[in-house]
Amino acid sequence: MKNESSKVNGKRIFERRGKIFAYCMVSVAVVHFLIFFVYLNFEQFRMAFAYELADGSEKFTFDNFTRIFTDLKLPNSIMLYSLVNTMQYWLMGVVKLIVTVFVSYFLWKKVAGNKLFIILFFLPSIIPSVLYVTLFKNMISSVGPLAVILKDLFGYEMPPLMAQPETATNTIVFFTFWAGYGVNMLLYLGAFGRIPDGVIDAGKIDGCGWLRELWSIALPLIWETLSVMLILNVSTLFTATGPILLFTNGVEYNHTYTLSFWIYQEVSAGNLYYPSAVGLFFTVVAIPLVIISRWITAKLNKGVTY
Amino acid sequence: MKEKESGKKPISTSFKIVKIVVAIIFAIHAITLVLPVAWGLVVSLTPTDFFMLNGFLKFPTSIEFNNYVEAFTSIEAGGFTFSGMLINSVWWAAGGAFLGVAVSAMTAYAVARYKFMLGPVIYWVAVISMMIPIMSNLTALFKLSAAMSIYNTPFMLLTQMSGMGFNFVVLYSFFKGISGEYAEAAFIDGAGHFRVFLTIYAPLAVPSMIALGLTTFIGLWGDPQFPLLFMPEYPTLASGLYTYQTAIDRVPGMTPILYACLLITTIPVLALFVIFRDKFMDMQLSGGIKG
Repeated sequence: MKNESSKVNGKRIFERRGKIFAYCMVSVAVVHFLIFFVYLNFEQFRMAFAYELADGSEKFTFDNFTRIFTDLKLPNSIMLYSLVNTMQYWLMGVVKLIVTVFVSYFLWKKVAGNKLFIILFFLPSIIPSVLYVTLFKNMISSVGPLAVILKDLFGYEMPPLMAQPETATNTIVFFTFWAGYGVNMLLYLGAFGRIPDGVIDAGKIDGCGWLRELWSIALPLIWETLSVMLILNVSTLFTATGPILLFTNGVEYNHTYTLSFWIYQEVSAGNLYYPSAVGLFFTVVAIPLVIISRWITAKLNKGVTY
Repeated sequence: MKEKESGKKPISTSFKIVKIVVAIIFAIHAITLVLPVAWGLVVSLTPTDFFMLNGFLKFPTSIEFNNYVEAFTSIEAGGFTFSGMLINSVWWAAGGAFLGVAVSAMTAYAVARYKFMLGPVIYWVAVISMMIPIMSNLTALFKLSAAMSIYNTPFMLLTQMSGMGFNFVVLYSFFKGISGEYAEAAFIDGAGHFRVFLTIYAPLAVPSMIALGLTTFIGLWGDPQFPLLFMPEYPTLASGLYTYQTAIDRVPGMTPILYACLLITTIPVLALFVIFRDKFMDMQLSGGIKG
């Protein structure tokens, strides 16, 4: 009896020590989360409803939010074109997602040189953006090598793309497409790679062409990966942006700001309250859209497992 | 099984043609990705006096390797030379990657392998918070960092110690999938809980931790915006070289040396990628995120 009781006690002590150990292990993460997520977002919420007086004190106000609507109504306001530019970057993100699926599919189908292409397409994700943007920017400048080649070969005068509002944002958006699908390419490639060969072979025997194979076999089987990327894409609806600082040095005259970059610039200038309201407003607008997209992707999930 | 002999050959041939066209498109795109880097290399080896006269318009007639030596002494930003910025980049990127992965590994191990009240709460909070489309809490972080007196100090590394983000989710899945028999055997032999983590389970997770750490390192190494905003007096290579480029008193002829600096910044990340390529690619390729 005594032995049984000491065994049970020993087990209880062991389990208690295990729980103490577990709590110790998670303590850093929990404290970090409470400070840098919970408190941070609470503080942003509070600042969204405040403005700073001359003496440094704060006053409660709804004016930050009414100002958002006022700014959006003005024809050439920074807020309006920042929102429009953000939508452009987001739409390019959607295009990039679709193109990346096709790129990954053909790499999975072992198109000639696929191993080299995987590394080269992934390179821009590794190389520091300050290098790639600098090289790209100088290559396409009106005095760069591309301009010289086009002038010499075709007599075409390359316009200063980054100096004109009509072309500046489009140039950066193009850059995000041209250099920006490396990581997702690997994710889809991994997902395609897990499809059993037998499934593909059965499709071939039934006479499936590559488009049919992609649409009816491969996409349903990688749907879990794809749906998460779709949801994450929707969540970037108002945060989509590009390396604007590196392209423009932060100047605003060529209308390149996005909402995220505008907030960054405002924080750099020490303006904290109105940008907090803008951030909170668009977060609240985006949340139901993410929930809806999650519901839609779950509905489209045919529950195929392998 | 059905066999459609009459339809099989045309489909196969047409797909071959499609693959050839796609390969050509991929090749063109790959060339456009490599060309700027090759061009940057040429500029970095151009003598500065030649560049002063001709800019980007002429191919150099001689090679100047000394630009790479000058890179360490001539370029300056925020009171730091290239070497100083390099040191800042190393502690910022390596420190941030290590802290982020270490805290995530500890949290993921505890939540995956121990039954305690906070475990499921941490897991669901981590997953849900990743999905919330929070739009920039930079404003609050700016204020908080000033209040905590970590603004513009190396203590900004504390912001990288998140243990409940993407790294946590990946490592949680990993630790959840390992057999508990290793731990049971170790406990029977008298090992404590922390020893079991450190000597048995953590080594098993090293490939995943390396891949996650590398991803974080690359992101921190190449990002100019966060150091510019939160550590202006500790410029990293990315933020410092950006600042140097935009300085109005910058001598235009220094462009070849600047390009040499920019190319040098890629060496550490490329070297790490080449060394750990298999682990890195394996982790990305084994992805398949379960929503």
